[in-house]
Amino acid sequence: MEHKRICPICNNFKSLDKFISNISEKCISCYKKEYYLKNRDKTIQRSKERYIKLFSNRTDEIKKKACIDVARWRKNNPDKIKLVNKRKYARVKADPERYRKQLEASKKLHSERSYKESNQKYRDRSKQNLTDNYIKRTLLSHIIKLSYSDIPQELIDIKRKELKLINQLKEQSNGQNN
Amino acid sequence: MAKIIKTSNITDVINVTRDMGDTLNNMFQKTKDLKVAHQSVDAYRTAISGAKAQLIYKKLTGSPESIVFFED
Repeated sequence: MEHKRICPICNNFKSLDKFISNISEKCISCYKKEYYLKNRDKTIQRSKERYIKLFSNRTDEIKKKACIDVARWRKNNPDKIKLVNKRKYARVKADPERYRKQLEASKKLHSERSYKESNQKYRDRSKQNLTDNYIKRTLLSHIIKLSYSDIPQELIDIKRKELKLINQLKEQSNGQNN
Repeated sequence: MAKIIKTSNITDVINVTRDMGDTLNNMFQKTKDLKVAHQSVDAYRTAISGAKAQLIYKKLTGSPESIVFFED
């Protein structure tokens, strides 16, 4: 038979292993709550320090690996993702004012942040590697009615060959000038 | 004597001009002759223009209902 006791703070029947010791009155969760309320600043500071210690040494490689792991997990667990989204939606529905405030704050943050530099880097990289998207952009620069998905791979390949040749010619002429 | 190539529709034109471009490109890689390179670029451009024209034709609806040359 399992022994149970009442916690005088939360008034719940709990098994003995949920209490700190046999003598103590409070259960573990009540004790933790009380401790947190008493030493809130200290606890937050300590957890911040622990977080910085854990994650400050993360290299790009580790970050990339973590991203891949998360993507794999999301692919393998669509039911859990659905459940999480459902819970989030319920939270938003319960308190729309809070959600609106969060949204406004994030909008403000994004408007202040500049994406110009990163966008330029992305464009330069795609230009150098002659990616499909870059070629599609060059092909559709003057055609408004077409979208990226309309362009066949065959046309992209021909354009890539042309651009490669032009780049080669440019390099050759630059080499001759120097 | 110059080689004569006959084409019946746009797909033929695209294929022929692309092949021309490839051949001239290979020739340029061997000889490094700029004239050949420009001819190769021209051939590629013709193929691209043809493919683009076909794309736009496929997007068009209404009048004219169909143009035989642009059909696959």
